[in-house]
Amino acid sequence: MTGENNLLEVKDLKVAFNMRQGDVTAVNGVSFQLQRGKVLGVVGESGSGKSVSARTLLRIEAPGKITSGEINFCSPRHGEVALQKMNTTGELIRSIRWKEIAMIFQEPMTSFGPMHTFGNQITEVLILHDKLNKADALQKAIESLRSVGMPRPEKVITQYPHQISGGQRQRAMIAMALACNPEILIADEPTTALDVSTEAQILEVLAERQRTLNTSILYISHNLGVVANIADEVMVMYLGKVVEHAPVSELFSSPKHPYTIALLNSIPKIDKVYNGQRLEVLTGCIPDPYNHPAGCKFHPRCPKAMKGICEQTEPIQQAISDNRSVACHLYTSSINTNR
Amino acid sequence: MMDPTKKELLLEVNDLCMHYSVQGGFFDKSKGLVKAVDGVSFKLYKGSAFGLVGESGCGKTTTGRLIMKVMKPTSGSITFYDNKLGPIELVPISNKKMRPLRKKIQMVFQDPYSSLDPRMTIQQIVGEPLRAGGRGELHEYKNKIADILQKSGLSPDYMDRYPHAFSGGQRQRIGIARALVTQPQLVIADEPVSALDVSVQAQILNLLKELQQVFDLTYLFIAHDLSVIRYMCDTLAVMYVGRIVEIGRSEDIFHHPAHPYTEGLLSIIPRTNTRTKPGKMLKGAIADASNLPSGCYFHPRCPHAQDICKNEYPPLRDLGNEHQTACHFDLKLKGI
Ligand SMILES: Nc1ncnc2c1ncn2[C@@H]1O[C@H](COP(=O)(O)OP(=O)(O)OP(=O)(O)O)[C@@H](O)[C@H]1O
Ligand SMILES: Nc1ncnc2c1ncn2[C@@H]1O[C@H](COP(=O)(O)OP(=O)(O)OP(=O)(O)O)[C@@H](O)[C@H]1O
Ligand code: SF4
Ligand SMILES: [Mg+2]
Ligand SMILES: [Mg+2]
Repeated sequence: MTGENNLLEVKDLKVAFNMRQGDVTAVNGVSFQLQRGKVLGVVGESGSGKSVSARTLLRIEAPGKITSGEINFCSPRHGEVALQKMNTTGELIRSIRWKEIAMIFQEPMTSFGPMHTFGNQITEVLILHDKLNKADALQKAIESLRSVGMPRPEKVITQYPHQISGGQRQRAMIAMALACNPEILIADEPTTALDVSTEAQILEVLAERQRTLNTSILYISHNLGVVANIADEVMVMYLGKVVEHAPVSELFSSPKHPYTIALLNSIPKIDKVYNGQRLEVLTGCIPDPYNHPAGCKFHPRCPKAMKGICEQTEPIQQAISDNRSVACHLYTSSINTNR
Repeated sequence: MMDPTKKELLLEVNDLCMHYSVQGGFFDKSKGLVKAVDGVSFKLYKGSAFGLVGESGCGKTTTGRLIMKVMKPTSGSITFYDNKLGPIELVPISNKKMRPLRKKIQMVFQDPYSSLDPRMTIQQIVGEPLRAGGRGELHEYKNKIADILQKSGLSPDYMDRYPHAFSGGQRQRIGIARALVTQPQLVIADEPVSALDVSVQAQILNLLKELQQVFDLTYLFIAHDLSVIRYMCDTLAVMYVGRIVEIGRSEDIFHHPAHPYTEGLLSIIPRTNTRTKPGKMLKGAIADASNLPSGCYFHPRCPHAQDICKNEYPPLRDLGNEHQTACHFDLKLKGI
């Protein structure tokens, strides 16, 4: 059940693509909850299903299809709604997109139409959702741009996407996503294409929004450092599944799943003196999407895999404390023997 | 520490400038000058890895391309110390004279997807620099190509395949094999891992380090990720709008940054163990290279700026131990 604090609840969500070569289950039984005013970080290698999961929340998963599961959203205007049941072009979901759940997309250039000024594109959203008149909408668009640190917003609203830098374009995208004060902001790698300093500034804008307006954020990134900085909780994905879910400080100080541990070890640490020492490498690569391994999907790459168990049975996501869960036999067996 | 008498010079860049003249805008036909690289000097020693860092547009790629002789600098000199031919001044020499040198200076590019020709086989791609000298058939080089593919972590069985059959990490390995097949002395790596997945980044960084030892390579390593620079490089230069603002050994710079810009860059690195303090953050955006601020280019963003900073560009000054900074003040003395 969703409610005042539990804004969004995803249960055993599966999304598949029917391809000529076979079916790809890009999201394969994902469950999580998003609390009001909290930032949930999502990490994982390329192809692990982060973007598809995010798009499905807005019901823009096509050509993918939801094959099972629930997405319950506590809408401020419609009460609890089951997003998975909605007609993807219907009135209800359209009134939720942008206004209640907004998204910043991974590809900055495709998010804005090239033929319209920023002013036109942002005011369009405001006129549609907040029923503002043109002049008020323009004023609000300028304010929104200013609130994300855009220099000279009065000028920017008259400009076209190709006329400003990538960093500024991403700021404009964020301004548009935040213009209607959504309950939930989905940010899919919003800073990956940007400079380090612009990235830091944009993270600050988002953190500020969360603090002052209690916006909930689903933050997707492959940069573990960025997630460590912005998130309250983190969920680690591998091949369409959540393999670990934990509060941010616990995930980084005591990762449990061998995949999380390997990911953390593979990044160079700024405070570490290496003296010729090599980075620990995660061997192999993400398997072919048409052909997932049996048992634990991570077992072919896992340094801790246990013969006779890991390649046979798939571990299920299990709680290991009040607020942590892991999908790995190392912990299932210890729980079984300990009790 | 390192014995200075043992250090052997490989490349010396002196007062390098690349100024572009550009139009002000679509309706503004007035000419402006973009000083993409403006008086850059540094030395590369054999077997070392030198890092270039700085925000987007500060001139890192341009510096690399000038050394590759992709274009001619506005002014300045680039001296390559060849093990057989001795010092060679690269800027004035003709393309014909440059040809044999091209094999000694190679480049690894950022984007593993667009930097490989999709119509060529892996054998053709990797063998191309060998044939750049003109003569020679590909099959003569087959063993060499197989060998370098193996050293780059790829099976020689892949030789007849096309790039589309490979993942991003594998393509970057192909790019590295291509750069190393001529047994270069200097490799310029321009953001070689920034387009790759986290897990693949580590593999490629380790490979580059291993190959550096195997072939005694010297790297000019360009990256915006300071953690990557720290892992790869023993010395580095921090660039800001076309100029070096701090240069020195990695340990010194990471432990005691002397320039407020370096300090700012270090403060915003997202770490997995602590949260960035919002107050200390590097503010604003990199200065517009066609419309530079007066005095120190960094002063509009600098938390320590004083009047002198608005009026005078600070020269690079020595701090000892080959550490130099272009700031009027001493961060340590100011107790900052
Ligand atoms: N339109 C599509 N048609 C077919 N398959 C798709 C489509 N979009 C995504 N997929 C597949 O779904 C899987 C998950 O993709 P997704 O884009 O969610 O990954 P991701 O975790 O966001 O990766 P990245 O870090 O590269 O953005 C992949 O195997 C991908 O090939
Ligand atoms: N052909 C050109 N004509 C005009 N200006 C140019 C040209 N090439 C580069 N510049 C300008 O020179 C400056 C330095 O560019 P350069 O590509 O070297 O930056 P960089 O440090 O490599 O940045 P990034 O991190 O984004 O790759 C930029 O302001 C850029 O716009
Ligand atoms: S279940 Fe087994 S293979 Fe999978 S991560 Fe845990 S130990 Fe490794
Ligand atoms: Mg994605
Ligand atoms: Mg560049």
